[in-house]
Amino acid sequence: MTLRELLDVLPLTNLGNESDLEKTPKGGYVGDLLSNVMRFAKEGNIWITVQTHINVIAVATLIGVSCVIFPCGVKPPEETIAKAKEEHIAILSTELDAFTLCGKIYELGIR
Amino acid sequence: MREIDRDFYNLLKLPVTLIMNANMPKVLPDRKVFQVREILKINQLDGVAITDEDGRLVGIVTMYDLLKAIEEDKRDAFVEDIMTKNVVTLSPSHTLADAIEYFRVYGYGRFPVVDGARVFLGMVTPLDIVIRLPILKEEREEIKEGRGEATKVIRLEFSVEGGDFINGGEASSKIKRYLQNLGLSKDIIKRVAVASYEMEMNIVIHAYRGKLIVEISSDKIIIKAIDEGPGIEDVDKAIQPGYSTASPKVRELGFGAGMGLPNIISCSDEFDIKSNVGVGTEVTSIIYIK
Repeated sequence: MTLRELLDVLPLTNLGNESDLEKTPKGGYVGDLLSNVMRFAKEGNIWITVQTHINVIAVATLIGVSCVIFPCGVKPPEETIAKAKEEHIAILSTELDAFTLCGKIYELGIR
Repeated sequence: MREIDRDFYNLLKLPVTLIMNANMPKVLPDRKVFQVREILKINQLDGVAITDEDGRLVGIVTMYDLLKAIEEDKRDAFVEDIMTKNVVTLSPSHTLADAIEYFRVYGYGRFPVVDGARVFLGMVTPLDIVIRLPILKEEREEIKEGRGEATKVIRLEFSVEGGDFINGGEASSKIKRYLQNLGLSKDIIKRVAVASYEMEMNIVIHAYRGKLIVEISSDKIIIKAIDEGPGIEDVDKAIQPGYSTASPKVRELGFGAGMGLPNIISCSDEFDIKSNVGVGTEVTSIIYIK
C-alpha cells in the first residue's frame, strides 16, 4: 500500500510534494523525543509526532522514514514543510489522535 | 540508467575535499615576489594560496601574476601587494558537481577550499579533477569491497554552530549521503547517522561552536565531535540514560531527554568522551565496518 492509497482511505491531508506519495511505508513509529526516535524508528517507517520544528525533517531524512504524520490537528510551520519538500520527505497531517491513527494504519496491514 | 552513467553521477556528488590538492605549500603575505616564484617553480604549481599565520586564506597568486610583477621590476615587492584578494572560494560542503559549475560560471583556473573560519584546506584546478577522478573511483570501489589499504583515510569535516537548531542535522545528513554513495551497508549507515546526529545536536544544544569530523578507512569509521563550550562537570553522570542538563525550552522541542550519549554508546564499537569544564568536550565514536 502506497502513501497515496493511505490518503484515499484515511482522513489525512497532504502538506508536501504530490510526487513523494508513491512510497510504500513499512511499519511505523510514534515518538516526540528525537533521540528515542533516532534510535528506534526504522527506514521506511511512518513517523507520527507532534514535534513540528524543522529539525524533525533532519531526523526523518537521517532515518529514511517514508513519511511524517502530525496527529491531533497539529500544523507544522512553513519552514518545516519547505524543508520536507526539499528533502522529499512526505509530510501529512490529520485531526485523528495518535492512538486512533496508529490503530487504523495497523488495521490496513502496515506493520 | 546505464551502470557507468550512474557511477559517474554518484562521483559528482562526492565532496570537493576529495578532489582538491591538500598538499600545497603555505605562503605568507610578507614573502617577496621572487621567493614565491621559486616556491611555485620548485613545486611545479601555477598558483598558490596566500595564508596568514593561522592558515586563513587572505588571497591567491598565480604564476602569471608573479611573472608580470617581475617584468614590472617588482620582484622585491611583497606578494600581498600583487595577490588577488577577493577570491571566490569553495567550502567542504560543496560537491564535485558544484566545483565543475564554478569553473564553468566564473571561468577561473582554480578555487581554494576553505572551512567556516576561512582556514585554507586545499586548492581545486580542472587538472585535479581530471587526474583525481579515476583514482577516486578506485578508492570508492576499494572501500565498497573492503580491500583498501588500512592507511587510506577519507576525512570529512563540518563546522557546527551552537544554538543553530535550523541547520542542526545538516552535517549528519551530508555524512549519511556520502556513506550511501560509498555503498556501505544500511546497518553501518544507520549507526553512523545516529551517532553523528546525536553528536551534532549536542554541539547545537550545549556548546558555543564545534566541529564534526568523520574519518572513513577500509575497516572503520571514526566520528569525532570537538566543541568549545561549557564542558561537562560529571561525565559519568552525563552518559547515564535520562540525565540531561538541557533547558526546559530545548526539552519542549524534543531534545535533551538524556538519551543522546547513551544512543551514541549503543551505536559504537568504541566510545570515548573527554571534557574540560569551561573549555569544551570531545566525543569519539568508532564503528567497525566488518
